[in-house]
Amino acid sequence: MSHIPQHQLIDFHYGELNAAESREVREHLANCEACRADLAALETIGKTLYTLEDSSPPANGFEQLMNRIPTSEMISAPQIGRLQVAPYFLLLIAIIFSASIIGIFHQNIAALSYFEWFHQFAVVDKIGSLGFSAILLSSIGVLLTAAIAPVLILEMRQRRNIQRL
Amino acid sequence: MVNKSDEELIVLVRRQNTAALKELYRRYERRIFNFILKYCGRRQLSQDLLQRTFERVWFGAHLFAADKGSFKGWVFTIALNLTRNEMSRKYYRYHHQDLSEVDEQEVSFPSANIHTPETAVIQQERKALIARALGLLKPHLREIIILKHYQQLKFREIAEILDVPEGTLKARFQKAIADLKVLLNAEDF
Ligand SMILES: [Zn+2]
Repeated sequence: MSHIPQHQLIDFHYGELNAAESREVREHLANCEACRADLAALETIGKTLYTLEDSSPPANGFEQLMNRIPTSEMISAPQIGRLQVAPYFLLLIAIIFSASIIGIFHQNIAALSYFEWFHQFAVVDKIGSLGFSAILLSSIGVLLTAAIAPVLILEMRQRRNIQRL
Repeated sequence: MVNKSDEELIVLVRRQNTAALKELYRRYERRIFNFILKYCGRRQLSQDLLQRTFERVWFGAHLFAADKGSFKGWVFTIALNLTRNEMSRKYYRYHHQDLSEVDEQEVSFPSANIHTPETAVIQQERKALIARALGLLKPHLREIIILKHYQQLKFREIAEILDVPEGTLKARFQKAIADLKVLLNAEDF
């Protein structure tokens, strides 16, 4: 008759065997003094280890933790850092890009047929094709930004969290 | 909050809900604290590492992936990594768990005083010897003893935390038990 391997005895001791395996081990133990001794040794060392009981964690631990963690107001406060600057840098590029488009194409916009229609409003004559192009492009810009704002905000918040880790 | 699962709570923590963090802290504070304390044997350090563990839970909540494992496994992994890092520092390597050199406030059990009855003194000495034996175990064996024996985790859960195959883990556990037998006998048990 072969003895119970040590790893199986450990699983038995810690209740990690299924019902059938446990029954097999129990049947073997009933007839084998050597394996009973092995199990007893495991139980003895287990009891000895348990002499070292758990300690109580410090009181007010959570309050201490909250002191280390900034509240959401502090998290949304602007911070200067390489990662934080990235979205503003993108914004700057967008502004330069829009300005260049206006600079290059405002004459073309003035030549477009629908521009004639806008001449019924006195203000268009006053601001000229340059001003009109600026208003047109910035309106598109505002709409686009509003559409992707939730994504941008989420992104910035996550970047900040990663940097703090 | 009390009725919510750990995994539901961590989703709320991700949205910066401090009540959810408080509930997770309440559930795991004692376990994580004692895990670290038995690992390093220093109360002050364990308090600090417990706080740092939950600081990471807060700031890294979005990094938790429910499909890759349980919150329990994740929080133990964080605590384990922080403790391993701390203990790998030079200072601890050369002053490892030498309780006789550690300040009374620092050790994991209260020191015996003259007014304590004799049996209590013996009990304290036994605890000191066990803590010492644990400290003398190699770290990769000590962490398994703590997770399996004191934290009562399943081998499957420990395998997830340590990122080690279950078979290797069981072999290490056997080695740890064998080493402890020798260490505790040497300590007159
Ligand atoms: Zn046998």
